[in-house]
Amino acid sequence: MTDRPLAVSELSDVRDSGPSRTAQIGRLFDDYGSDLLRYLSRRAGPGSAEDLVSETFTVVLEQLDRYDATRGSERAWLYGIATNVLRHHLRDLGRGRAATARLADGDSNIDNPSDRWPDRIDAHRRVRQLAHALRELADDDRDVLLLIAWGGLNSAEVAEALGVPAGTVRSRLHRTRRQLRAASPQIDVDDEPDEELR
Amino acid sequence: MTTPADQGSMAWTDEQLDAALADLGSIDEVSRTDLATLRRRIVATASPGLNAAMTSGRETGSRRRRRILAAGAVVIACGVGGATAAAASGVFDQQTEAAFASGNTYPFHIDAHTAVERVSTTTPDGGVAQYWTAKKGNAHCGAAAPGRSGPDDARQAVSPASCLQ
Repeated sequence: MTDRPLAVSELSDVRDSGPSRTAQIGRLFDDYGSDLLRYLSRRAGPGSAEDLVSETFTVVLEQLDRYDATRGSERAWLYGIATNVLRHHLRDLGRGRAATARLADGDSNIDNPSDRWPDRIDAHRRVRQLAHALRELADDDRDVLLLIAWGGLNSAEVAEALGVPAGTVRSRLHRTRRQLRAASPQIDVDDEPDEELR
Repeated sequence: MTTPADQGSMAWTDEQLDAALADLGSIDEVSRTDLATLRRRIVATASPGLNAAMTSGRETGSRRRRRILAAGAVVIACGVGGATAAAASGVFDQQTEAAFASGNTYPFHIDAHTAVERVSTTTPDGGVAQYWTAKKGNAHCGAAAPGRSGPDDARQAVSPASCLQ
């Protein structure tokens, strides 16, 4: 038994051992599970997030022996797998280009503006405008934007997660942000009933 | 906060976009209990007890997957053959229950909209059997079904689902 958690890259010596695989999955969950759950909750809603995290770690377990530390960090590797799992999930839901189950409704945790504070009303409108605009993005662009904004990854990690050059990530991010800044204010959500927000 | 439209401008600033992204991404904090439950569920999937029947030596991913499917077929055969009483009568062993979220039986169906397919395999009669899980409140529910097009089949074919609180 080691005195410290094993890194995935050290698995080559122990991957035949069941207890070590279990310990490794446990260590990966301890290091990244909470953040991954939050990210997938933001992308797919809390109702689906736990299953998506579980699905992600199932794939991680299958691919432990394929992880190459020289090609990127564990975090980027995990989020890359999670991104694929999320895409399969959304595709299986049959929601087409809808960004996520949450984005489809512009769902957020913003308090209901029953008190009609102008700031909160503006925040609701802003969220709904952005949700609509996000739905129109290409999947790859949306993943880049939200892995950074909600996943907390940097451009290099996103590049590793998605298997694209870092320059591509930066150009996609720049283009996507410019597109959202221009498009979101043009979307009129004032006619939609408030209950659709949640 | 005012929107650019209110201000007469044509586009949001970067700060306004970041604020909207933060608002849209706001979520309830994950409870330690939920996190611990999820950890147990995931680690159980990787546990040697469950994987002993699925993995041995240096298997390739595809070989391991085939073995998982084969093991799943046994579970599904039990589930399809006697779905209503399978979990309650202890058909699933402890490791499988932990991995596939079976356990106490409740009289409800899995949620077709949130169900996730865990395993799928060809049955001896040429059909396809699937095992689906979904969250119901604080419980995780699983259901085996003759698979054709997805969780709706599971919902219709299996009653009730089995759930683990």
